[in-house]
Amino acid sequence: MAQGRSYALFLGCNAPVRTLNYDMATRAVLGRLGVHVVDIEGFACCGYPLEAADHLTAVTMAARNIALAEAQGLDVLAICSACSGTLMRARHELVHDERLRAEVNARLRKEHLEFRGTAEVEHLLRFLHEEVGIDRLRALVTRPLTGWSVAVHYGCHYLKPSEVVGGEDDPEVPHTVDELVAVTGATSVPYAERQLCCGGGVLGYREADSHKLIAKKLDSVVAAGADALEVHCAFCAVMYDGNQKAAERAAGKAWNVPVLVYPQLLGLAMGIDPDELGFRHNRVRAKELLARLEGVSAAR
Amino acid sequence: MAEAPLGDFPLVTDAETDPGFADRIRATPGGEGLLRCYACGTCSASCPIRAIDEEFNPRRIIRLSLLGLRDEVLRSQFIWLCTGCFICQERCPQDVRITDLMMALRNIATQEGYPHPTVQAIAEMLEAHGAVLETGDFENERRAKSGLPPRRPPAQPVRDIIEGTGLGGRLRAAKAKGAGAATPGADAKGGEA
Repeated sequence: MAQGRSYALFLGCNAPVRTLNYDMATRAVLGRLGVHVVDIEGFACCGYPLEAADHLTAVTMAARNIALAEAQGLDVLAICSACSGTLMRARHELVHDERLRAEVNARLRKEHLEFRGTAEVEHLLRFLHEEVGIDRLRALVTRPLTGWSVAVHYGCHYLKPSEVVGGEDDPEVPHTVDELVAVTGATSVPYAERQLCCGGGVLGYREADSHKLIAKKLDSVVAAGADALEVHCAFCAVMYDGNQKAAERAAGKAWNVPVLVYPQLLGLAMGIDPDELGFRHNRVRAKELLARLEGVSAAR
Repeated sequence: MAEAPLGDFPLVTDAETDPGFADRIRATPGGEGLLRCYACGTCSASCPIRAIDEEFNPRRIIRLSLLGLRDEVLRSQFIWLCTGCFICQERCPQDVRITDLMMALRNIATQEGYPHPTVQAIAEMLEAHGAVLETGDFENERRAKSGLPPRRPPAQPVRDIIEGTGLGGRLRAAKAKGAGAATPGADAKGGEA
């Protein structure tokens, strides 16, 4: 059972600095669910940015983080899909490849760490969907977001590679986040570019391409008449919220689409104050949406 | 007058090819499935970057690799344009594991002295801060104001890992050589593969 248990919260590099709203909302929601989070001081980068340079280096960095959680007997909850994906893929590889495990563990010995494969790694939303469960979440909804149209952005590393990270989702026709959005009372609206990548992976290599991908996505979200875009990855949040203005300049148009991280949606539906959910850190202001919420709560 | 039968297609001669290149890729983590490609083009048809940037074409990169056009691949910009979304890997009917393969090509390019400047900068950042963003006093003051606990990722263990695998040295050597990798114009043509 998830309730009453402790998990190591893996924030990655971006959330603690660039998406404080995600950090805050995650803690607020997990606190209400009776899930304790432990901040492990030694956590560093997950390794993802160096997969491009050297596989062994990236896997060792991932293994080190997992080993730190194992040393405290904790499973890992990651809120960035690039992090959860990297940690899960590394874990999968290390569990199945004894030689690689020995090589990596030799490199971790200096810190007296060892990867044994005893800790599970999960993405926050898979945890909410599979461990906490939709029924329990439904019981906690006191302020349903009735009338809100939300475009769900599954993102890539929450779904793929499916055999390692995909859980019960079919990567071509995923459903878990739609269910998580539906339980808040909001409506998940279909839109053409639902599967499209945020472009975070190419940001540092060809920024113009990443802006084009943001434009394609947000054009589609606007065309579908959505009130907001839902994300559950720190890097997707940086791309769509933090970089929305830059992409608008590049495209010569304005979308002004509020980008909400999932625990902000859930938290609002659970009656948590928007301030505690970090809405002041949302770069594209969600004022109009929140004003609607006040209306809902006043009517109750 | 009749057009040349090959049109604009360049002739590839043995002199330009490295017959061991495919094996080198297959021996690199992520590149194991290279030979299974039968060029169906599902990857290129699915690729979000391919849809917006002519220079990137995964099927073409695989064909160049199989032909042994080592330098054209390793010194290119285009191998660094994959956004790592895994959609091609998921859909590939031959299980080439294309996203992993793109990473393998970048790993080899880095070994050969052609790392992209961005990956060099990332490694330097990680060695200095243990994270790709500095998380110092300023950031922690902001965190405290939001009721969040401090974050201080340790740099030393990350530096030890990057130096221990030899990656740090490889990146510095490439930088000193000014190889700076990714020579623009190695081949800017995307073309239909």
